[in-house]
Amino acid sequence: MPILKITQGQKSSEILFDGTPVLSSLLREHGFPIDLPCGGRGICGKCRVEASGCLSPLTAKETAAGGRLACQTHLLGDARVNLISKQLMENIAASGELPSFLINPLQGRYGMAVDIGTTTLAATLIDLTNGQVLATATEENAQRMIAADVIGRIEGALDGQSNLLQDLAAKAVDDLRGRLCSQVKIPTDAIDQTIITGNTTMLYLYTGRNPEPLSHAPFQADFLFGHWVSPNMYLPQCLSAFVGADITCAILASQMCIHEETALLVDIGTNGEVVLWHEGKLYVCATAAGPAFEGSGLEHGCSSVAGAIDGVWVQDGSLAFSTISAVPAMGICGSGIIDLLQTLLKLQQLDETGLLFTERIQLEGQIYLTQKDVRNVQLAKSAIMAGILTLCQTVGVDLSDVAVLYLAGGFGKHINLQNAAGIGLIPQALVDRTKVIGNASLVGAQMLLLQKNFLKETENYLQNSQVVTLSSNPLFSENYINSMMLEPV
Amino acid sequence: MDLQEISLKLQAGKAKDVKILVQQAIDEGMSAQTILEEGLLSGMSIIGEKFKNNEIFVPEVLVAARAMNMGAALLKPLLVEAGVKASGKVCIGTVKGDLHDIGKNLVKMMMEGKGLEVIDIGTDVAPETFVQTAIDEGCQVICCSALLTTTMGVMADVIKAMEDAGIRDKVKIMVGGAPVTDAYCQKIGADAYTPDAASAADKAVAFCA
Repeated sequence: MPILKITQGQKSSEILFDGTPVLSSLLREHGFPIDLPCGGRGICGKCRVEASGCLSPLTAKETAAGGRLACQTHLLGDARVNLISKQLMENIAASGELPSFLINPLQGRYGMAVDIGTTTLAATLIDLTNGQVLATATEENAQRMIAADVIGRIEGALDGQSNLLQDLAAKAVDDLRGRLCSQVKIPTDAIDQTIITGNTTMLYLYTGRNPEPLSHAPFQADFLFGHWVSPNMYLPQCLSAFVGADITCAILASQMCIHEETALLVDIGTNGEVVLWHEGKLYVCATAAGPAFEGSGLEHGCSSVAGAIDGVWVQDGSLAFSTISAVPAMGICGSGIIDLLQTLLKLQQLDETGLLFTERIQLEGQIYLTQKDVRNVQLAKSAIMAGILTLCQTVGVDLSDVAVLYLAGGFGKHINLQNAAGIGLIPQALVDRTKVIGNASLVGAQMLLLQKNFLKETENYLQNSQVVTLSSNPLFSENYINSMMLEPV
Repeated sequence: MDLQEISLKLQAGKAKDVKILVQQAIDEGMSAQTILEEGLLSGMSIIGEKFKNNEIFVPEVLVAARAMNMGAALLKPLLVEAGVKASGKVCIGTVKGDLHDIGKNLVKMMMEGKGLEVIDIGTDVAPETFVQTAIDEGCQVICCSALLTTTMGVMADVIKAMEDAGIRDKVKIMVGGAPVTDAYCQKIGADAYTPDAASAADKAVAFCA
């Protein structure tokens, strides 16, 4: 039987196989996580690996992608493959520190917190007795093969793919559970408590609820969770059809509501959500930012994995960059694209309207920035900025009255806030008052495991919050267009 | 002054410069209609062409349209004073059940960029409202937008409402939005489907001629 030798960071292992399997399928069957954002169709190029040995000839798609794609490569005999260490990426997508609070945990020894993101799932395993994080894991959301965004998934569900969407979510959660447990060498049934958070649509699809009410105006969800689905699995409170349990958890993690002062929370993901805490009340809105800051909307974008360009600056008059884990560059992640655009503005290779003065900006080897990438970032960042401005204007809060801006999302800690303000992603006035809190949704879910009282507290957000609708809001339209420029606001 | 300069600044999305130049042209005694047509609309027309050919993307169109609107705001009172009429009148809205309006707004801007008068009826618009607006305002074209497969069916209801009101043979109906296709347009018996905002504006101009 032929052998596949796998190296992953410093680890190596071997798999025996029959026939001529597709590399990605074989790896997945044996528990090696391979992300297939395009569903294994050879389009996105994100499953590129270094492989050698008896392999199928390079396909046209692989040639276009500039190397072997795990989803396109068939094994014909003995071969070797080198994977990027998954462990490195997990710490980042699942990052975020627990604030200090009194522990009064749910019953049991082990608790699992899962955040089902539209693009990425992240999970942690917690020791309920002392609050220690024992393991973390992340996974691409396989529902992406049906559609990249929430609306497409809802339409897919209404179009007869509801069971498939539910299965994909259930399988992803099972995979994460398995990987967390294997990291600490406990059986999967040792987990006593599970909290699963995510946006409202993700929770609908996970629980197999018909998302029809989410598919048309007035977009009234017929169920908002805050609910034990089984004796040991809780799904946190959602606030509306578009402001989900992930934001509830992020609000909890920010602890903005325990202070009197006015504060903003911005969660930058495929959907950007903005929360304003003002005079004892929460105001929330959701804005369709698209996944440009999560890497999907860019020609050479990637999530915050090892090899992602996460910082860019000028050195001796030309571009210099750093990558996560200091390994060779494989793409540009959210913090990298922010730095890159601001640096290009400084070097006058890009103007404030978003025009690139050369066709593309070469970073290294295969990795470059295109004009279309810049445009996608503009759409994403102006959706977020317009959300911030519209919410504040609607409630009557001046930016100068905002004491803290909590910035959540998969950026990791590397985001350069001055650059983020420079391209107009966050208001200039708030740069010095911004706190980066990482994957706040996941942190909030962990807090629910560790302090029973938080369940009631977060359920109460529903009565204490007002949802501001942005779509078809003329103020938002105006702010959206005015925020399109790459300049400070 | 050279109105070409206004066109170029508009294409570059430089709203402030456009405003300054338009004011300058007015001060030099040029007619508002000339400034509009040779400065603003000619610039917007190039933007429309480039957008259709995928040379530029939504953000440039939005910033160019913003520049156009700032210039047009200065010209508007002068145009009214001079009794200049728009080349046609259309109404546009996002259909009932749907609140998405970015695409609709883009089409509106493109149509204004072609010199049409556009009545924006907003989002979540009932079929009867489209028809009533067309009758009240004397529109030659009704434009319906939808982003959701779940709401685009309303477009067929708009056509039905037009028939019921007896205006189907007098007013054209155009449909567009992400899930809409030419096949769907033909199936429901609408007059035109266009895949992008610039083509929509061209089509509306043709219908109004």
